[in-house]
Amino acid sequence: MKSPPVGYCLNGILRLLVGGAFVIAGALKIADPAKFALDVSNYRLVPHELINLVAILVPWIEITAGSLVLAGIWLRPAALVIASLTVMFFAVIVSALARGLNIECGCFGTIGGKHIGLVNLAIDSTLLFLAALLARRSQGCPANEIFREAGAQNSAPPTEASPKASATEPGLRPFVGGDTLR
Amino acid sequence: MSVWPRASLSQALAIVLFGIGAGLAGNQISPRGLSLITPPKPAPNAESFIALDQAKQLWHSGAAFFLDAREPADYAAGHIGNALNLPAQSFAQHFGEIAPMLTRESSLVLYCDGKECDLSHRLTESLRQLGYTNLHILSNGWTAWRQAGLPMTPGGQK
Repeated sequence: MKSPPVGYCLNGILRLLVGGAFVIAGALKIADPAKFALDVSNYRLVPHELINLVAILVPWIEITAGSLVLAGIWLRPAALVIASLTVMFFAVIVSALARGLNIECGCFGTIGGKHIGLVNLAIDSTLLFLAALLARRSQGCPANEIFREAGAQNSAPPTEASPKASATEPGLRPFVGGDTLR
Repeated sequence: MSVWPRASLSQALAIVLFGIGAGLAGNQISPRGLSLITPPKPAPNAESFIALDQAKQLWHSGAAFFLDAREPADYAAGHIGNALNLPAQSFAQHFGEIAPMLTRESSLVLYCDGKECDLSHRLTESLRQLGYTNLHILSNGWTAWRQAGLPMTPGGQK
């Protein structure tokens, strides 16, 4: 049996890292929304009336996008949402640091409980890089195409009859570089 | 071909909208759900300071919880008898340990140390945000309490 292609493995690892991080981050915030609301309020950026709404919605958007990345569904748009969230978090932390706020990050719920600092910016930068890489790698190649690609590379070389058969079986259609997400 | 095909942007928007819908629904059914609009902050002057004599009465009657807003190391070095430590600077990290003992209506006496200390004020803000209403600040609490010879737990004891 052939080993899976390198690109397939890399995409799997990227999806696990990026999607897993966001699902965990979202779940920890949902577990204690009041604490997350307090964290949001400590940044002093959101109008007071909207603090709860932000604390309610952001974790669910994180979980939705993270789950899709993990599952490999709508990979590119999900990575885009994650990258956007990461840019927003980065800007918020930079703004808090610039204003000299000594507050907890609230990034991963109560885990760590450390005050914001360069470590948080480094984590955000890494996640942004990985999400961008994932979005780029999935360009014209959503997860199911990656699976197809892996399947095509692991199967025996096509015979004359096999291309016809694969054309009728969507699951075996080989990846074509110009494929779009549709 | 554009960098971000329209389909990707539409799907990204759909993800965000789904997250918003899930958030609203999840919040509705969660026992820990929050009100969508954050309740307004009480006016700053509504903070009620408490005199040492009143705090002493509350302590003896057992009608109030005393919360030490200082850092754990300061608390460990000595605190008001039976006071619980809820550091204002790492509130979120420690609140979970204290929360099961309290109700939103519990009478809470908050203190730190020194006339300039604002930790008890910050703790008041954090607790108000979570819906606690019966809050009293004992100004210069630890020093005043100690100098009055009231019951305390010396360093090294819980």
